[in-house]
Amino acid sequence: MSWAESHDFVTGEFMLSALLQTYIHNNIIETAPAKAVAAGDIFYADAPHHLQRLPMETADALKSLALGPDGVTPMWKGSAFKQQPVFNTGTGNTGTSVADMVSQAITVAAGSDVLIIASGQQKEAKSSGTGNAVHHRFSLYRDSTLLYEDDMQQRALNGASIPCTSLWFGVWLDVNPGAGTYAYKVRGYYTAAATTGTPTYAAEIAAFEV
Amino acid sequence: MAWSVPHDFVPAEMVSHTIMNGVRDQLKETAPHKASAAGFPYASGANALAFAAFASNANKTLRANSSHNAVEAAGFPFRQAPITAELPLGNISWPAASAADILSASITTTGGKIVVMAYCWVTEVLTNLGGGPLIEHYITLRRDTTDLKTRTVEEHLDTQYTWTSSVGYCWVDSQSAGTYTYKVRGYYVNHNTDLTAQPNGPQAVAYIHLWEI
Repeated sequence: MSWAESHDFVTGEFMLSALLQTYIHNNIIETAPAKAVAAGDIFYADAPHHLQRLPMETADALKSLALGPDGVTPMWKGSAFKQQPVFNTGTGNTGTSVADMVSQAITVAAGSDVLIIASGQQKEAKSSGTGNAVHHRFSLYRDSTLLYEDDMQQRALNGASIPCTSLWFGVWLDVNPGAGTYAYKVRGYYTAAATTGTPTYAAEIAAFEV
Repeated sequence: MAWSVPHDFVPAEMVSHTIMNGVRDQLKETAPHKASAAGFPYASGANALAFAAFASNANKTLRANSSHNAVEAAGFPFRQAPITAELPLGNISWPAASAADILSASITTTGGKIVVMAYCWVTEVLTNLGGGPLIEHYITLRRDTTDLKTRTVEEHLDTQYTWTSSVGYCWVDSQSAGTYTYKVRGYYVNHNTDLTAQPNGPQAVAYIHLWEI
């Protein structure tokens, strides 16, 4: 069945069955509601005056539309962030036991992944002592769960005001942590073989729900 | 009004008002009749349409709801293709004493969040190394004339002759509609007068990626 260009009825014309069948019946069955089969169907044209239904993807799947491999038929494709990214920064002094540098909470839906991108710096000026090994540790947590940790080992020379600096950049995809609100944190501390100055830190964290 | 199977017209049939009201009811189920505001038609069931509403400038995609019985505008796709600027590996004139732009990239936003990913790596071979040299290395992420964050690297070179720093930034910026230029800036401070940089300048790499979400 195909769409027929609408008929202009004129005065005195007989409503012949063929006329009504062609321009009313056959056109009605080409409309979207006639073709709708299930909730979530959307409709696209695959030729002039001809619609097709495209069933919806699985529940909660964020998709865009693209032409399929045949270059004609649309399909659901891709992904999208489920919310805008959230972001926080922190500064302070690092201690010798692990503590938060920066924390960012995000509430995610069931089935979501969380992409974390974070960076930080610890910098200190050694004030005294004879040792020369300094550890600046950066770790990424989800609440109280350690996701991973980097140990940046630096050589801090003897003498007053001899500095050492560690820079850190981390990316983590937290796959399907489950529905809920989570605090993602950059945590850190330092250890040194000798007395050092207390490091200062700066850290940033961004969280994306995908 | 519920959809009914379209009537098949046959020869010699008397077309009654009941039949024509059936046609009317079917027309009331079509998309143009059901549209009441900007939106996207979808099937709410067999032979039934509904509309997913779109807020102004919301930049949404579509999804089936969690009950899989409706389509809704949702999500945060990229509002435009990412913008990238890159400084490929090569000798550059690394600024001394005061900051200058190393690399910049501009983006025009309609009010979405701007995600800035930036990276800078610089290495320098130093000569005339004297006793106890101390150098400082600054790499800054800037929006237009506002410094967002600066990493300060202070190092004691001892017997090393190569000074290397690498800095990565991820920054999420919330700005009103407009055009913004993000920059990687840098400079160094040399506290040892015996120290001189290599004649051809330091080697550096930098990039900036901008996403609007």
